[in-house]
Amino acid sequence: MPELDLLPERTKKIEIGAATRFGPSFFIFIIVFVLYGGLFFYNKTLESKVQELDASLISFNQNRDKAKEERIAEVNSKLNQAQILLGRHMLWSKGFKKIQQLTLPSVQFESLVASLPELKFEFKATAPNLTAIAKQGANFLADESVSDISVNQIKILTNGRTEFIFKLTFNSDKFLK
Amino acid sequence: MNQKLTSAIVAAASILIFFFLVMPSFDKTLMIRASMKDREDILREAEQISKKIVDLDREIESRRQEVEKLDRLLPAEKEIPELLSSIESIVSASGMILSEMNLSEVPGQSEIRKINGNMKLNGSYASFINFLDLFEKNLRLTEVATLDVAAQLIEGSRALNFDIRFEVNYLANESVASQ
Repeated sequence: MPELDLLPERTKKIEIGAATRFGPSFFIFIIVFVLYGGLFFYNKTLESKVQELDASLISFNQNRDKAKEERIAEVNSKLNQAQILLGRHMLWSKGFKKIQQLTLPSVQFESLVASLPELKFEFKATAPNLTAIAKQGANFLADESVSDISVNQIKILTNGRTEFIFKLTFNSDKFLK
Repeated sequence: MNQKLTSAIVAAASILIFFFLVMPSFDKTLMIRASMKDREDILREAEQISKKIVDLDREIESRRQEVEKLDRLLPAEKEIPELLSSIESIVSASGMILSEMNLSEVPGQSEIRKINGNMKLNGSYASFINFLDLFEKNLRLTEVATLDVAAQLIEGSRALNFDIRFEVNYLANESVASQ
């Protein structure tokens, strides 16, 4: 005869209201899944946008007018370099005109050497006497473009004139500009 | 019991999905957005440069004469024939006589290349000053480095011999291309 179970060892909790099968864990699962799906599709959209941008960049590069760009670069480079060169440009014609103005009428040039790198203007000339040479030296030194002067090899020639060599050191910005 | 187990499994799956799928996806999103921003910046910059190029090109066209002068002042080639021809016309215009001329290229890799020249001339002092004036104000920029002038007596008359060393510049083609 079967035993009567009056006090069951296992009891079942009585739930009131709508039955919740999996509770909050299922809800979280749904949220996580939706989040993943959303991100997946968002990424796909972004990837296609990146591809569009890449295509735009490629097309931009293909449509570049290289010849025009090179011409602009050339003109730009020339302008910059020309400005530098023109800033350094020296005019010996001005230097010679200045020497001509400062030279006494009695002084006669025989030869001359002028050098821009050495900033020198050296000449051999003849003058009637030493006083004329001294006056000539003073004339040159009075000009602000001449920074130094030296005289040597003074010789009295048979014709009575005096030969000498003058070496002028000049300030290129004042002498040749 | 079954319900609890299922709930635990679902929770575990949620955590796994979050860490192994959602988080990497989010990282990927950040990465793609950054690369998209980079590309947008490059494209915007390229468009601005392109607009600037159009403006500059228009300006070059509007100042064609000045640009042509600039091209002659500092050519992108040696242009030796043009140089010789301009020297010849300056010599004859100034009334000098050219007796000798040498041109040699200075080796170097700088942006500005130099051609060294040397010429011997005869003539009067006035012609020489005239020559210097024309030579130095020539459209092709020429720098006179040294001058050697000596008087010489020829058949009783005084003649002047001039030895001039000069430099002519031109712009190296590679330097233009590299910009």
